[in-house]
Amino acid sequence: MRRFLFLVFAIGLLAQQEVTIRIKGGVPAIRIAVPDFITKTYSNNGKSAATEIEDTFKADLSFSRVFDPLSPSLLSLVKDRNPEKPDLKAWESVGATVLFIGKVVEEPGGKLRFSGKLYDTRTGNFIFGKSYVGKAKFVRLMAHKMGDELLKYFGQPPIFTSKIAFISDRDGNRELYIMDYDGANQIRLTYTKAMEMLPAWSRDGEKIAYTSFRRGTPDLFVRYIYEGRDRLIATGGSNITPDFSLDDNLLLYSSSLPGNYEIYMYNFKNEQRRRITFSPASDLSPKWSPDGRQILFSSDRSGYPQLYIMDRDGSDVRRITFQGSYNASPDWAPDGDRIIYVSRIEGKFNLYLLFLSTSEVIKLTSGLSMNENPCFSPDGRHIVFSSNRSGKYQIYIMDYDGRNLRQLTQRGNNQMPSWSKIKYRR
Amino acid sequence: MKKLAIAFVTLSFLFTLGGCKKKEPVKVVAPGVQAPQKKTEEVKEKPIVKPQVQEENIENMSLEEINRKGYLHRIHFDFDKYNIREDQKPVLIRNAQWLKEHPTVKVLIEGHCDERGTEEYNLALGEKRAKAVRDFLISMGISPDRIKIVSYGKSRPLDPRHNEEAWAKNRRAEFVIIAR
Repeated sequence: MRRFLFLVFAIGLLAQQEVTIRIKGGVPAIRIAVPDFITKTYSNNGKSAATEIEDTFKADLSFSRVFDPLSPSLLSLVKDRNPEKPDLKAWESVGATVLFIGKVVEEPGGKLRFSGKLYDTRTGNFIFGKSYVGKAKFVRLMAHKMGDELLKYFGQPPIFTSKIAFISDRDGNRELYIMDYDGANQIRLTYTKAMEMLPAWSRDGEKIAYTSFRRGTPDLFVRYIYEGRDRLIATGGSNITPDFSLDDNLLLYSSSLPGNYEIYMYNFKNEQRRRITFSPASDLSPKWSPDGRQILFSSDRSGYPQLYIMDRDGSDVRRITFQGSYNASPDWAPDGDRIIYVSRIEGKFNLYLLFLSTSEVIKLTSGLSMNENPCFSPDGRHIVFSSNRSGKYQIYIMDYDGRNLRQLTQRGNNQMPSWSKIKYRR
Repeated sequence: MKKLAIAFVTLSFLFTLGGCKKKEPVKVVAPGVQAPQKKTEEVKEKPIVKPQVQEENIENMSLEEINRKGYLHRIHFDFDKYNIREDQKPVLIRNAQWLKEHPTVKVLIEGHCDERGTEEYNLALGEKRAKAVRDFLISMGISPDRIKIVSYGKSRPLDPRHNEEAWAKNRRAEFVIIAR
């Protein structure tokens, strides 16, 4: 696969040199064998629930870029399928480093039990066993939780239970929705009949900051999604592009209250707000650095939007994009080195990845359509964004290198995705 | 002799006429009955329009009706620009004049953009456009407290297509009367 590197040039110089490079990143994929699950079901509902658990679990592993599941043809080479005493040597011989034995049992009352055992094929050790019980409508969650346990065992952030917030006009006007990371369980959260925009998840996964026109002007709210209540954060002028701090206590956002967009920091504890930028330009889309010490943002102070990084108190502002004349909507990867953003060239919007350590820039999307509002997954291996490549705006996810593109939404226009964060330390 | 001859001719002429008249009544009566019907139809073909002039008083109209009438006209902008174009100034001058004639009216100026900007920067650009219009109206003597502004960015295009014609239509400022 060819990827393009755009060397950094001074402003105004649009000449680009394309070089094929290799992306470093991720970890060597773990070769995992997942033979067909053992299922004991007594009803059609139980049977289809068992199938959904297995399919969801396998889809998670394939999606992850952490695991590299063995193909069905390799799995079929191992004949001994004793679930109690698996032939680990045989599994190792077909290339598996770990083996997952899954079992789904329909329990009295229609609940399902999903248990799994993980083995190390080289040492022959049993690694762990997990078991989840739930109603049939929550089977996807059970599968995602099992997958998360595997990720955590291998030192990776648990992303399968992560969610994506987005804006959809499928029911008439733009309202706030959430869905699972894989597009399942799409749920509408607001019913304002006004217009909602630009949502951002809190780190604890229980709040979404967003802009709503329900009072006529673009005001900033926080929705407590499991309580169903809203808190008004900022009004007066336009208030947009929020971002929660690591401890969820400080919310960065942009407000045009002073006459042009400036970046503010709102403190939930004392309800005080502090202005961070002071320029006559539009300073937008502030994002906390993964360590919480710096702020990434876009500003058109040079004439057109470019990306900048400053210290969290607003000092030491330095520009980081020099190629192209319209760079905006940035997001900072959890690794701290990569920044994804939108660049406008000849009226078309594509996604670019900037490596801060090397100043390399990689183009991730191409074509004549619009690709907007990119956001990293909590582990930085995936990117969610919206695009009108199919006509209407839809939400897509792809891997950090542009591979495995998939469409998550279908009905209406679906835009401005925000992937939930995860509090996770190895 | 000569007089007698004239009298005979006259008599015979009159007799002839009389003879003719005897046949006539049948023919004359028939059209005489139909004639009134034809006259009625002709009246229908030429209706008389009663001249009417309605008094238009915006104080008696709902805000919705006022806005539907379109007393205030939208203006358009150049790509990525928010300055008031020379060719759009006469429109704003007319709008200002109307606002002066209706001193109690309050207006919301909506700034809109074409799709060729990010959501965020289009919100900013739309706000600059609305402000430019507000400043122009203020310079024409309209009180600032009669004017509110809002930006919808690119979220409410007039023309959903993706071409120059649509973009030119969508880069605009709209006027919505919010109080009469």
